[in-house]
Amino acid sequence: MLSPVARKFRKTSLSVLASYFVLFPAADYLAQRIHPAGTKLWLLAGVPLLPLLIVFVLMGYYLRDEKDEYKRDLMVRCLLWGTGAGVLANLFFGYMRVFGWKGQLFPFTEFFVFMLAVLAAKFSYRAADRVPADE
Amino acid sequence: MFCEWQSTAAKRYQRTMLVDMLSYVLILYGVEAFVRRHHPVGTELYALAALPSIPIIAVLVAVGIYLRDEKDEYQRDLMVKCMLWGTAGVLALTTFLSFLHSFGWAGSAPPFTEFVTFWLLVAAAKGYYKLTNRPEREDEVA
Repeated sequence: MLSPVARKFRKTSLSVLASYFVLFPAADYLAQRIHPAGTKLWLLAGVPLLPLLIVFVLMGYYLRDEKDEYKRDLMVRCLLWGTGAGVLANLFFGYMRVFGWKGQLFPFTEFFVFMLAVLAAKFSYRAADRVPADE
Repeated sequence: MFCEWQSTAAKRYQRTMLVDMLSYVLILYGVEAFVRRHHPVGTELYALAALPSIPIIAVLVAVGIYLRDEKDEYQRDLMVKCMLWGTAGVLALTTFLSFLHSFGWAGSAPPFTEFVTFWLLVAAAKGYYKLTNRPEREDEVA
């Protein structure tokens, strides 16, 4: 069962993420039309980042306000698994480039690695911590 | 600062970090020298790029073991908070760079920018918490 704080976090973050699906296509459309460079390009790239930053802040509030220590600990663990995986992916491709690799990663690779690791950790904890039906 | 009391888990963590970092430097120089001499490609290059990641994996494992073994909840909480600040900063940075690429930026950040940013943010958060959590002097309280 979701705690009230978790419900609030889910509801707010989903509505914030919905704005991402408006801001990103809009920024992308503008970028394709006006081909910005320099400061304009940097500012435009900052626009779709805003909802994600708000979600990070909401996550911080959730971690602060969640009363259930077990759930908070679980969330933190999943986030740390995500951090580990993201950092490793980033380092590995950093070394590849240092050692002469000319390829380029897909945009958002580290972000997807982070999210996948968080989800994998969440499911593995859910599977491992399940209470047997007869208890 | 140097007389700060440290738990057994923290001492073990610092020792492991030191060993990991030393082996990281040795492996990195070894691999770099090898790459410059032999110019490997394909699978060999992938395998060599993975080698310096091993001490970094060991560092991440050391952090995990520290978080598991640290009895002082406050210290554990502080470490987690600092790492989450680092995570948020790095995710924001990588996402921003990805948007720049999507919108036509041809440049690229120097290698390890994200990793260095992560540890800088962790250190900044640690410094900030150390400053703000200092107990007030008795005369200030009175």
